[in-house]
Amino acid sequence: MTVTGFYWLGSRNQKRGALLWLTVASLVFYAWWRPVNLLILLLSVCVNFLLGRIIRNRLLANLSMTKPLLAGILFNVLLLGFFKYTNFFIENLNFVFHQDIPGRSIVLPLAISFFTFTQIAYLIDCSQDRCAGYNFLDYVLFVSTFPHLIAGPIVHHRQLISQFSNQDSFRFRPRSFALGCTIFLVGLFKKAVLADHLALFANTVFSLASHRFPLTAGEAWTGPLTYTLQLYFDFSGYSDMAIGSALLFNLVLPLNFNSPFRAVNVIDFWNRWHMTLTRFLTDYVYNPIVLSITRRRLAAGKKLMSRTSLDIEPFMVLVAFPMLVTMFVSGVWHGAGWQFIIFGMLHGSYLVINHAWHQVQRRMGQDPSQSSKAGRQVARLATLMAVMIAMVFFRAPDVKTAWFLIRSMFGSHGLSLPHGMAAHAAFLKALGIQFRGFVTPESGLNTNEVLPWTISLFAIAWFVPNLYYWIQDHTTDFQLPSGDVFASWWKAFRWQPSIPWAVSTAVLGVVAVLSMLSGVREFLYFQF
Amino acid sequence: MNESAAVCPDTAYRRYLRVVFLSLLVLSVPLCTNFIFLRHADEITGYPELIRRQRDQGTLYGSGLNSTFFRYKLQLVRDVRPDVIAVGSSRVMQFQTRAFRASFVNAGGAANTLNETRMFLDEMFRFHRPKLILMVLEFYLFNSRFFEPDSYPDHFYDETEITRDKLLSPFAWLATGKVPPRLYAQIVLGDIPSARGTRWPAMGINAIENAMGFYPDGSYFYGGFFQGLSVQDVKFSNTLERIHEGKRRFEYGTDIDAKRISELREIIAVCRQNKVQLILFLPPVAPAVLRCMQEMSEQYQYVDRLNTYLRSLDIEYYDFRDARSLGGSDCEFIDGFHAGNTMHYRMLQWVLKNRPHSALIPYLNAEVFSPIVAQYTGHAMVPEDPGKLNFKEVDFLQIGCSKDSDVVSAIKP
Repeated sequence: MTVTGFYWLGSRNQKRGALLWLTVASLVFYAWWRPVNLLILLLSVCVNFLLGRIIRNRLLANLSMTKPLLAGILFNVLLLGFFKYTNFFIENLNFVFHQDIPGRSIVLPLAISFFTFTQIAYLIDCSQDRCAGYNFLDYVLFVSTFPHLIAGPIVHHRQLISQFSNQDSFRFRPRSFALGCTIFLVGLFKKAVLADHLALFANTVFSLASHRFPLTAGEAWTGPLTYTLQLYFDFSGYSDMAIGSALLFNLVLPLNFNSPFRAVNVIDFWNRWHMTLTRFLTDYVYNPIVLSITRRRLAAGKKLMSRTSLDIEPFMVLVAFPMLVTMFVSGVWHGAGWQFIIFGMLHGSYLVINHAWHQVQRRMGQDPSQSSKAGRQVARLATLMAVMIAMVFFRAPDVKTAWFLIRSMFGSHGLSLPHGMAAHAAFLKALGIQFRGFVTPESGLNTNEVLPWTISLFAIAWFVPNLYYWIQDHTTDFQLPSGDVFASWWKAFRWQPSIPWAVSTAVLGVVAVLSMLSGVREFLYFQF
Repeated sequence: MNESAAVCPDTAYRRYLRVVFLSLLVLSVPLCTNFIFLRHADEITGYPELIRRQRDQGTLYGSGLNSTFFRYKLQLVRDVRPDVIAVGSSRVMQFQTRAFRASFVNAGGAANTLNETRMFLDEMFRFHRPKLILMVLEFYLFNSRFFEPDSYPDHFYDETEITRDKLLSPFAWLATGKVPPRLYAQIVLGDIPSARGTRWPAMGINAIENAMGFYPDGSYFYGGFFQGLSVQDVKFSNTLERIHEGKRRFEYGTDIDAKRISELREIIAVCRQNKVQLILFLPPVAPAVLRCMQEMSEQYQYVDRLNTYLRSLDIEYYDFRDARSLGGSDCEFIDGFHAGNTMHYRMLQWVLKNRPHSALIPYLNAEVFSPIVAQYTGHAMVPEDPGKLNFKEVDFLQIGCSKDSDVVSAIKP
């Protein structure tokens, strides 16, 4: 209905009408779950729009805009903080001061983290003369366009609002619509069929860990293995659905995932995983900190970093510190809990180590981007292991459970190997190793289900080109930033507007809808 | 969107879209047909509506999808507000309304373990307190080797929800022949046949095709077995195998489990708190099965200990395990450990004759027992409305029972 109305108005040259129609549809979509959320969204949008105007007017009048900018950032941080972090704050206050202040019953408005971040970026850009004088309708639609509103991708105002003025956006274009449908249905399949099935295994392991069930190493690893995959297929599936549904309206949203499990190091991983968040944190947290420190050091006549320098002090100040702060913000943004902070700091540490290693490599005259094929596979595996360990903190309900699970992963409750290995490695029994299956029956996990799902989905995530590779003959809107090289025979399977592809896409859609009628249906990133 | 990358003409993309939407439509048709089938067969009808129609039209309800009856039986109690209810597992489901002069609901099948019974009673007491509860005690519930779950997610199962498994079930039924294509088409077109072999209106595919389902009073009709449409425990082989292997409710045990005893005491206490008369009984098993269990009495020591314990309680209690002591036989059983209707009438008749001070006496419809028991001796089935039956009970256990007497019209409802 929304699509029909949009193009009907567009065909009658009612451009503003079409945008208004899409805005109303987006707001109705947002209010559907909890209408009161709409008031919070509209309050946030109105305040930020007004502050953006004030900042821009002051900028044009050569007046200081520090106060309205700080007021805007403070408003956004307080709004987010109230809804997301009040209870976390109370818990810690109670712990530190031995108080018993009761927690508040606060329902987190959908997508508050997403729309708060995009609007902070808008205010900062206004203060740096990087935003045009948008009208209110364009601004509301930029924040609330339903495809990206709930769980991203995090969209930059210039990227989206510029498309609202394009006359072609209001004309029905079969190519855009065909690609949109395909991307949407593939995304739905990834979420509803693949991710939701993996959730059954991941939930079991994390639930057992929270009840301190003595998990064997194999069982414990099943948790982060399946959860990492689940989160990838869930969130990338949602991002595909967002990108696909935006394309139905001729709107292009940025890529959010680019085969992250092919990453050869953690820096590479963050360039492929939740790419729009990485870009946001780089532009609005990391770069300003580095810039500020660099200016101060220059003013003080202190040494800066060179590409081959091994000096610890500038590295710590100019790389490690901004990186840790940025990933701390990332952790806090993801959730209210110490486990999220640890998740962020763990990734911050990985990145610092990664950057340090690159410095060492450059100093030794090596190119960090070059390595042997085998070396790349080992690097991928090591990266994946590091990511999975951090994921334990991301998924666990609390730090204690995460720590319990990590200890189990490293054998604190023993190791059990498949029955078939008993005959060949009986000597291991003396070391306390059991032969009761990779996972034991007591855990409730079924090896015959867990292993095929996990292995085949990792193989897909690792070796198969992602969706945007398949469609790149038909659009230049989604530039794949990394130089992944796939075997040439994959080209034979690239997407074509052909009958087999059409039927296959429809089958994926129907299977996905059927799967949605059972089991888990919540998008993991809705909580952010 | 950038136009420069287009490698195909618009017509190709238009054709692609047409095929996608046509395929979606084609693939949706069978699913929509299944949805109509399930809706017409009342497989996704809510319990309040089901029970209202059951009570209005005397319908048999037997779902092919739902096998948990906790909420169904609670709804039945909510609607009827009976003075007497029978509570327990499937082994209590053969008590029928006509045995009672007071209002009655058979809540059998809703409380299969002790903690589930407690949950059922707690839920029921929130809105209704019957005067008397007739509660079956399964001997195996008191054996620690019989698994008792901590929680019952099925209680929250929404019978009206459309799920993938529900939508796909008719395909499986068609493939396995459980639903013949002709019946499928008939139901899709809205022509719902009576329960097979009867003239009772039916809701749910199990009632329609197999004549298996609940009467409006909550008692269960095993029409498929009685007609010989399906056989389950021929010569009690299945039950005897369980006993010989000590599994599936017949696990071996020495002592009664203290935790389960404590759960029973809580049930008794909660009934007393709510001023509800509670009568406990151990239900009969087929004589052949009882004989086998007695031969293996070493393995089932806990059963006699349970009986001794229950006798020591200050509560009305009956040990009906021995069907022969009630005048019954193997022929009056549905399988090795599910007594048929006739045996249930025999139990109540025994109380009527031998326990004049029983709390049950004021609620019993004394006139019906003798004629029913006389007429249906050797039969498992006592039909609610014999005039609507088009079949006679067969020797479905294949143990040589004579089922020749013409019971179809002998007893008027």
